Amino acid sequence: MTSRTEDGCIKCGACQAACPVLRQEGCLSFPGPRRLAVEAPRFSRELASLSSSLQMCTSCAMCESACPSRLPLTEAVMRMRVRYGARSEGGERMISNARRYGRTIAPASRARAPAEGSVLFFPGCVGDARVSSSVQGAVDMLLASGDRAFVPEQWYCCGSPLEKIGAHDETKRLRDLNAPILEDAEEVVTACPGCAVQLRKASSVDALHVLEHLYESITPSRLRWRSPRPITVALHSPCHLVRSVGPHTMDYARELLASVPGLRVVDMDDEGCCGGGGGVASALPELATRMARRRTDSAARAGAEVLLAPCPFCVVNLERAGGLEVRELTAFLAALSEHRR
Amino acid sequence: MSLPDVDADVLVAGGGAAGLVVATRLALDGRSVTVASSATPATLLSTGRILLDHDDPEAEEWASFFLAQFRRQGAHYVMSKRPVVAITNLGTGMRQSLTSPLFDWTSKDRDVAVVGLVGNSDLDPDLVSLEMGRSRRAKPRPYWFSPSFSPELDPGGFAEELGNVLMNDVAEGTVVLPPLPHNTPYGLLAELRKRSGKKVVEAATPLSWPGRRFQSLLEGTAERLGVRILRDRRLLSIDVNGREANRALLSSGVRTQRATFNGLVLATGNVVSGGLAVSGREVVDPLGLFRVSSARASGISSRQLRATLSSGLVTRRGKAVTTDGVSLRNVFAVGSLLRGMSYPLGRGLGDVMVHAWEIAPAVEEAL
Repeated sequence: MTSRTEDGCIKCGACQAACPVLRQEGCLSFPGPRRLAVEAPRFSRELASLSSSLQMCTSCAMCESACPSRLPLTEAVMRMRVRYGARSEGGERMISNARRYGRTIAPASRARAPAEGSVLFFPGCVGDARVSSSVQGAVDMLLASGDRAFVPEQWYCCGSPLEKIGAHDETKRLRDLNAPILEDAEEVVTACPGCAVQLRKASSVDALHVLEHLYESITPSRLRWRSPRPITVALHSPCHLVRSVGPHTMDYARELLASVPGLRVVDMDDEGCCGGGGGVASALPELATRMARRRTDSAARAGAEVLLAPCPFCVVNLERAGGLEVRELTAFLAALSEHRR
Repeated sequence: MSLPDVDADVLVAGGGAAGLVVATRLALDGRSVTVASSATPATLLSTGRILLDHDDPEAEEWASFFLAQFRRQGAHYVMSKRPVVAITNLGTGMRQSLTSPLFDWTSKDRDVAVVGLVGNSDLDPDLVSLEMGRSRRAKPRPYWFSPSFSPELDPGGFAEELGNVLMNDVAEGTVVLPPLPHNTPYGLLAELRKRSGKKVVEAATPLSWPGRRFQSLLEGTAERLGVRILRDRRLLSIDVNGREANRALLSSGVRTQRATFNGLVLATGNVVSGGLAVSGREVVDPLGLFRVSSARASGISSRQLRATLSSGLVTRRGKAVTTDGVSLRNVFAVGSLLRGMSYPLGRGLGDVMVHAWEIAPAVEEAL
């Protein structure tokens, strides 16, 4: 049996040329999206040798953007991974955490935020446990600009990382637990691109990324900034924000940054994936670090003092590289906001 | 939940060669134009070779405008005296894989050096020499060069070092290089020519970059004139009212965006670029409301393939015709979306772009 992915490939190689892991690691270490998504399912004898490379895909979806036949390559790689690849240690840990806490990472201290209101801020596991400044910063900014923002007492993992490793029962269980919590809110806002997409797709909640909410509901002209010292920043484009939530988000990010006095955004010569997605950060941390270093090196070459990422997960991974300050975009903006509490 | 509306005089669906050319000409006349581009246009996968009809004044007009724009952006190109047939990278075999859009191999080529760059696996000079000797009787000489600078990160250092090597250590007058990374500055080849005093060309392989460069030259030209390009947007539906269309729905990731306009140009390409999804003689959404027919394509033996590749929208004076037979007043179709304009029928970028250039005044008239 063949799928649309296998039959639709015209062997042009555009996906191979676009793959950031292939560029970083070379074709001897990583066979690339075409081999994993299109050729491997046909030639099952070779699958055993591919199971380790299946773990190297960061699910950045650059192959999908480059594909002239618009094949769902990322999904195909993830499917292959679930079918044939052994689950990584990090994946097992996520599942056991999900069973125990309802989150993929053990909960950390709660953000200072009202427990009731109309705009529900969804912290997400990574934001909550690893980049609490992004949660606090977003909540502060929403409150300061007049939103009745709140963080519910109890919430659960959106299910995005669990679904990707094939833990479907757990994904469904958490989605059902989240449903009554999300239902009551007038609006749902999150700083995590993965959560925003998952809540929209699986829970049918019109979740907005915080950039979308800031730009569309509050509008940049209503935001007031303290005048900081002149600063040069580079803006990282998170894969799941650009290619899943939507490319408009980066336009918003640039416009918001343009409204900050004294701030200059420089372009990087090498745009790409931070390297942490798709379970790579937990399964192959050295690879994730090498990919992250490519990003921070590029930002440093462009003359940036800080690398900003509108995604808590990217921030965690980019920080592995060291050498350049990395900040979550909303947390960074909140620190410059005049309305800071 | 939708994104803020997009409003323009003209919405162009499709950001490949056809869409960008029509958008550019409309912007030249002061119209506000938004291009919605879904993903990878087939133009990006082409070798950037253009076939122009020398007797066609429209083609001349296209060339005199665009080539000047490309030059301003540092592009290097060659206009040959005889028409050059466009070859795309899709499904190429070895022979086509080694051609360059700037250079043709002939049996007389004994004055050619093929210089491989260590670390760039897209072109093996030994293999090229062997293959060219066998199939074309050309006699290129293979060289290997290990650069100390990256062409992307330090183009100045790369050009200086390689320029010196080509001048001093390479005897031949023509040098073929592997495809350079797509973020290499456009002026690099010209710089290498200047430094070495030799004809330096870049090879095209199935994973190479001339199409990307060509695409970004077209995008650069359009954006310079104020065309707004929305990337990774898909056209979900078109609202038709009587003989007009004034609204369409786009998607950006998981969200939708309404576009309002006075004129709509469909430039979504044929099957390969994903725009025109054809099943038999029927177009599948989002262009399902238009009539389709096939051109004669005797060169393709598979009936199914012929039906698919030669299918295209039916138009009357450039205007798209619906399945009910109504030609819409302000909806136009350009590029390989039209029947007979797709690559396997031997046409190429040149036809597509000149046609798009010709259609622009008609679009303006309909506004």
